[in-house]
Order: sequence, then structure tokens, then C-alpha cells
Amino acid sequence: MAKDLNYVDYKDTEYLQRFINEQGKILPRRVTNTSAKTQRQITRAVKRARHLAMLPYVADSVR
Amino acid sequence: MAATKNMYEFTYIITPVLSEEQIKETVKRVNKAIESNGGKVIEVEEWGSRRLAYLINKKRNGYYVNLYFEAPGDSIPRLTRSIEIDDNILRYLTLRMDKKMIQHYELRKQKAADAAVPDTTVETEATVETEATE
Repeated sequence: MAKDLNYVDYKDTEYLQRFINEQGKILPRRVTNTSAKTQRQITRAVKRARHLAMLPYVADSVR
Repeated sequence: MAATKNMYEFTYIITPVLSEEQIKETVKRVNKAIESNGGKVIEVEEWGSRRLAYLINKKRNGYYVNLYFEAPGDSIPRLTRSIEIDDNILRYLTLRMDKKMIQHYELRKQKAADAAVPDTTVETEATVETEATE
């Protein structure tokens, strides 16, 4: 997937969804297979999206 | 000291309890706050009402507004202060756009323009092409 210039947009929640699990946690690099640089961008984007309630901090599914 | 201007991306969420008219007023008020602090609004994009991923002030939905503006850096604290005071705004996020973000923004805008072009005449298409080659 061509993501331009290594900027991960917090607005693209559909894309970010791929990097969080069903609990809403950010997946580790060993699972996502991304470069360190991209992983940092993803982490930042997810955190921004969470702040704006576009992604959950915790998604309660399992109990 | 001449403060240099930066590009900013600003997103905020308005309470869903307001009427459409009141939402419009709030958007206007925010834009005015930017302009009065020496900024210049470049683009306002209203995403409309969306479901929040979690409750904020016991609200399930929020009206999202995303905008881009240019302003001197020292105007931002004043701006965020006025936003903070506004009870109709649930959340906000201010980002100073670096080179990558600006490029990303321009690319996105271009893509949107390209998607909108096909219906229009040959003339406009030609202008789009010249812009792209520059």
C-alpha cells in the first residue's frame, strides 16, 4: 500500500484500525512487521485519534 | 520580533446538543478567533456528526470540524485558551504542520481535486495538469 512520505494520518481511522487489536491496544512491531520509523508514526497517529474519540482507548469485548 | 507564520491543522468536536444554527455559529466563532489572533483560515472541512469511540461529557456523538490555518506561533496559546473556555467544544487537537504533513495535505487535496475533475471540461483539466508539473 502506497502511503505517501511516511506520514501516517490520524484522520485515516480505517487504516489505523489494522494496527490495533480488538481491545484497542496498539499491536507490537513483531506482529505488524513495520519499520521502527513507521511504527512510531502509527503510534503517534493512534494516540491522536484516541484523543479525538475516533478510536477507543479501551474497547471492552472480552471478560 | 517578527513572528514567523506556521501552518496548523486543527480539529475539534462540537457538542451534539446544539441546533444546526448554533453549530454554524460555533464554527464561525472559532474561525473568527483564529483571524483575530493574526491567523488566516485556509480551509474548513466539516466532517459532520459522528459517533464517538467513548463518552465525552456523557455525549455519544459529536460534530467534527477539521480546519487548516496559518498563524504566528505565539497566537496559539491565546487561541487554545478561548477554545478551552468554550463549553460547546468537547475536544480539540492543534498540530503544527511540518514539511511532511504539508506535503501529505497537498497530496490529499490534489487527489480530491482529481476525483472531482472528470465531469468538467477539457479546459480545467489542462490547468490541473500544468499545476501538477510545476
